[in-house]
Amino acid sequence: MAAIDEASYREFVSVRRRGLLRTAYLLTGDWHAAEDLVQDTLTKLYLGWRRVRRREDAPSYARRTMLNAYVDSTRRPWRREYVVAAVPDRMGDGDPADAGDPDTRTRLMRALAGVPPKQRAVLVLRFWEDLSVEQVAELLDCSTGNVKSQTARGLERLREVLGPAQLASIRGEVR
Amino acid sequence: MTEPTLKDLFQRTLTGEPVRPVVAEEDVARGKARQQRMRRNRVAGGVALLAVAGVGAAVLPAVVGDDRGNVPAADAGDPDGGDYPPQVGDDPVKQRMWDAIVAALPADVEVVEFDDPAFPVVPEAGPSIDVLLTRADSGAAYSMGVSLEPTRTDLPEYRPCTEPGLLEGTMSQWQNCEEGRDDDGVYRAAGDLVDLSASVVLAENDDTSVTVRWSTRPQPLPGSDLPASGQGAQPIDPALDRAAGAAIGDAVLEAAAGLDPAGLTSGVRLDDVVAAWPELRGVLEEAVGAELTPVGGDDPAVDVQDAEHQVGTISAEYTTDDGLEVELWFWQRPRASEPMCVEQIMQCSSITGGQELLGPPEAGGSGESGVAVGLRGDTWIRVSTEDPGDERPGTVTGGVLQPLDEVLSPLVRSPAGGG
Repeated sequence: MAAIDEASYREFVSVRRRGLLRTAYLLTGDWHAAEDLVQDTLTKLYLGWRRVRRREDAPSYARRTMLNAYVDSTRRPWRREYVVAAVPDRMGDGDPADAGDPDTRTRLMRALAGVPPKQRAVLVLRFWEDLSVEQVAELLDCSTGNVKSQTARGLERLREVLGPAQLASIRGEVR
Repeated sequence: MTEPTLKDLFQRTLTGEPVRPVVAEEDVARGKARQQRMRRNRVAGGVALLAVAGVGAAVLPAVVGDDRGNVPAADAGDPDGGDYPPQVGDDPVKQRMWDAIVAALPADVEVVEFDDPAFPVVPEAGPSIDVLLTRADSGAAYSMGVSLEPTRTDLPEYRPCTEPGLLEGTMSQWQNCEEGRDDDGVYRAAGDLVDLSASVVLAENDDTSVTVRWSTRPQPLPGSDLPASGQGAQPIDPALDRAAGAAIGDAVLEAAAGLDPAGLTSGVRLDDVVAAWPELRGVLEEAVGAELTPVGGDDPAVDVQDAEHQVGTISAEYTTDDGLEVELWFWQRPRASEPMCVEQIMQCSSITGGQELLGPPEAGGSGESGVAVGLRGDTWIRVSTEDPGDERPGTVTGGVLQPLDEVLSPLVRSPAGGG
């Protein structure tokens, strides 16, 4: 059996790990859970590194592995993540000036927590990873129409929570 | 002030990101550790597949022939099992499956039936049918198994192509793999297990899941000039191709419409296995010829992962006074259509009814073997010693499967009760 090309794997980890961790955090809302998700992803990537024949495919391979692990983790009964019917207190007042303070951060995380896992994944992929509708559809193994509808629903959910002022900026995202 | 974009907002949520340098070596170490665990128990010579007893015999007994003209109406069911073969009998669900299967076979493919007391066909518990197929005048037979189960809508679809998990790189990893949902909402997966000379298709709607698996390695029919399986037999001109397998799956899926999915469950109650454990231990002691002393506190250790669906593992580890180590595991997976790996022992039960053993050879002598229990259950035994000259591991593991199976098989219920 051929040896794993560890040098290229190390290089990939060095360059991509922080980005994967950030995406994982936006998906899970918890740095520890994000680290677990990234470790699991990179372990699977190590095992499958020989199969990633072209290095430019590696980010997509890692992203897909992480998404599948994330979606699976939210659907397993013993690790199920429930979508809350109503997001608790501190609804957004819409002042964009406080977008950088802890309250805004808390609001956004609560807003994301109120978005079903697949919709959250779509939002993160599209607006954080800057992937196209087609790329997201391929990653999630669904139609482009499904990605668009999930995007619209996810954004609507964020708008409900974040408040009217930030509504405008989010509305602009879908154009 | 410029309104923040959603990306800006995402960026601001990252406040609190752990300040820690990236150390790629740690991920390499984790990857290596996982790889080493996967190889820990590999038997000498590499990966071994333990074929589970099924319909395949190296030499086939008498051929009865095509019975398609005798198939009764699909919904009728025959309480006496009159015109149905022994593997179907008087089970109305199996009769419905049988009718769908034979109607969907390619025109030049027919069912081979046994008619030899030396090879009695025992119906498998649960909605599953195993048959041998032959293409006209080919002189060869190929095994095929079809099983039904309720769709586990509470679980993600089984994704053999994109998420092979621990089966990645093994003989049980699906190749030429396809997966996805069609326009009718039916989730489908299909693949070839090239090294195992087998192919699989999976089709499931919101209620029912069908798995069709068939061998691509021919077995010679009596009187044919074909070499025996494993002696130069080539996977040529198989009885089914992927389209034909999918057609059979679709026909069975359609035939299952209207059936109560809960009635299609199958498996053992884990409590029943625990209750039978002293008997299983007795089987082992008789095979080993010595008293077994449990290692650790639990005999057996029970890990129920999902009581409703009776998913979990039951295991125990023993030693003898003269240094023989014996490990016995039973596990039941969430569904028949998906393999399940037990990470502690790196054993994966396969959708094809086999077990994948992973890991490098151990020092000294050791033997491992396993057998399926119903559609979802598997048992696995490992016997090892530090003395390379001790032949007991191979002898014990080779001879103990049948008596273990005789204890466990009667525990299979269909429909299965939950916890």
